[in-house]
Amino acid sequence: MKLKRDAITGIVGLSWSLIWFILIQTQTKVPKKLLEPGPRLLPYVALVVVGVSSLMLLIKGLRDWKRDPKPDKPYFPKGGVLKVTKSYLMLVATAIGMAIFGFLITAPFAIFAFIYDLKGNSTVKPLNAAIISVLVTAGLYLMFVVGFQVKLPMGMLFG
Amino acid sequence: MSNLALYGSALLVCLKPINLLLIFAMVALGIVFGAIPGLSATLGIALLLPVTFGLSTETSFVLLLAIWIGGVSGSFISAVLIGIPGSSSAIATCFDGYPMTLKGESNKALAIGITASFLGTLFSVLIATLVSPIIADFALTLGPWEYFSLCFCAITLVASLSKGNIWKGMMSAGLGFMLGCIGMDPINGTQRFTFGSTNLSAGISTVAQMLGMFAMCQIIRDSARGEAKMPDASTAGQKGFGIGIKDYFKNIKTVIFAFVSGLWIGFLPGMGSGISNMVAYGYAKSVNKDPEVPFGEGNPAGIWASETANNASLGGALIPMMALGIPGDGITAMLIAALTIHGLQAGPLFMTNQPDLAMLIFACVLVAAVVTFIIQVATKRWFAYILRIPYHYLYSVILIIAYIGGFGISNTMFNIYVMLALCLLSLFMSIGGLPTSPLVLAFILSGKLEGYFRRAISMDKGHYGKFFTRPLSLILLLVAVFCIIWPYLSEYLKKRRAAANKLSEADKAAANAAKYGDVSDD
Repeated sequence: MKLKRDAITGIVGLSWSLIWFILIQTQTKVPKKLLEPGPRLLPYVALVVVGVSSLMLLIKGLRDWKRDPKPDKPYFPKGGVLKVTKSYLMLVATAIGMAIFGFLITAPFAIFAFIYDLKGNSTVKPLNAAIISVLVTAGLYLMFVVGFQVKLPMGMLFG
Repeated sequence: MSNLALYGSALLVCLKPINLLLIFAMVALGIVFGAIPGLSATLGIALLLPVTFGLSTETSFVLLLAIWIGGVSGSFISAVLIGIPGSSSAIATCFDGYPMTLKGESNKALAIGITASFLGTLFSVLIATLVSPIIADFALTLGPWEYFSLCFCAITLVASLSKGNIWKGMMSAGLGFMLGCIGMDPINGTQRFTFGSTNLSAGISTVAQMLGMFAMCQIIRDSARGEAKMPDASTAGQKGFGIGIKDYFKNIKTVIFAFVSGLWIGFLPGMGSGISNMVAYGYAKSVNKDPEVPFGEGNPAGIWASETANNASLGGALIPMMALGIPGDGITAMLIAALTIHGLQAGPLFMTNQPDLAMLIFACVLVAAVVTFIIQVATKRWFAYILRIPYHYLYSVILIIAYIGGFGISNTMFNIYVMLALCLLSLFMSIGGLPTSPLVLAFILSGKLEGYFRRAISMDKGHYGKFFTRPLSLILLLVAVFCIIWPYLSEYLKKRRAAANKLSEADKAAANAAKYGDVSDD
């Protein structure tokens, strides 16, 4: 039995609503003697909106499933989940790299990796990609640091 | 100083050589962002916002507005040349623009796109300039009750317009509220969901949210779905401007309707250019009953309608943003965030207290529209080259700029981590089919919504009655309720109509059967 995407979204939403409820109780203190609904109002509104819509999506998903038990078309094509996971991990690795080594060291490697990750079926020469990575890093550094006076990550090792 | 004098001096500020140079550069960049499917003016603004941290408010807005105008206008280029819209605002442009290209009329199609975009932006921003101060003056007489109802109405309108299912829109809006809860509460400063982190006390940054959800998520998602490939665009046949004054007058009726509908739709929260181009196209089709060239096969009126309407929406969206502080769409939400970054609050008080800056915004949009027209006319023959930029190089640069932007928000790595977390959230939302616009609008408006509501209750000593007894507040609340009910009501009415039709057909069939039965009996 494979549930419809709406039903899964509904279940995830309801589970999150439960966690959110616990977080409201533990993470929001209400000052005494208030003439207004207090700081828990919006979190509760959010809880109700997400909870009710999740429930409705779950009902819709189950109804659709009853009518047609065929599973939904996959969101990603074959190999897409692996690819998006790899790309996301690359983004995380870049962030960690910037935190440790700073922008100037991490950026060329990150750009090089992104070019190869995003190229799809296109052919990319490693030398071209390397030159572009270094030039783009230098260009961005000059533009942001010198031109716009924007600070860039220095890295724990150099900061 | 009168508004007219302020507008004159704002125009002079925009025409200063350095500002004019910036407008030219940013409009050109905007056209590139608008033309390439997958990139957008919203993304351009999100990437540019961190650059403005160190700049003056005037310069920042010159940059942001120029990229906005260029970006919205440029979306017709890929729609005409390769049949893929640069953004949802140019979907209807594809219907006739691409067939014209296939017939060798791309020069004419691009010329119509350029002219219609220019006219739509120019006249809509002039109307916005005239109307916004009047609405802002009226808005000053409203209380927190009306403002709350207005924000509530805007969010429900956006959620109810979500593709497919209203509950998906509502869930997305709910998630936006949840993100908006993080940090200090707007009335008594209680810490909420900060887990003791000082970084979270100020709440989630709008810039980090936009960069994570639009730039990062979109790039890795499109790449994984194999949607980052484009067909080749031809550069052939680009001689002369392509249209004459006759073409304009031939389509004047379509242009006027498209303009009015685009302006109105842009004014309504959530119903931006993505909807107006379709509405105007539908109208053009309905009034041209017997066209020389059928619609969908390269009728120029289709492009006139779509492009005039989507650019007219731009001026329409400026009105609630400037006069009420309510964003009409994702882009105006970003512009409101930009104002906040520079210590300003969009809304009626902004129009009254900072009229010079308000007029600068209107003047800059006008100048940017003219510059967009000039650049597009001058570079029309090279449009196809924009679509040949290799995606993998462009996207890699955008990703790195997103990191720079994330770091620049607070000069710490914290917002980069926030960006990554929101990228993941956006990815899961896409898989679940949840739209992002309601989340963005709910997130931006959550502080205002909560603040106005609690202030209203406080002012009325704990009573809720004024929300329903003040006429405008009541009307807006009724509209909001109607927005939620309407999808169900329309479905019910459709079903009833279908059932009635079926019944009448069955009656007819029975009558016929009886008639022929009688004949055969005879």
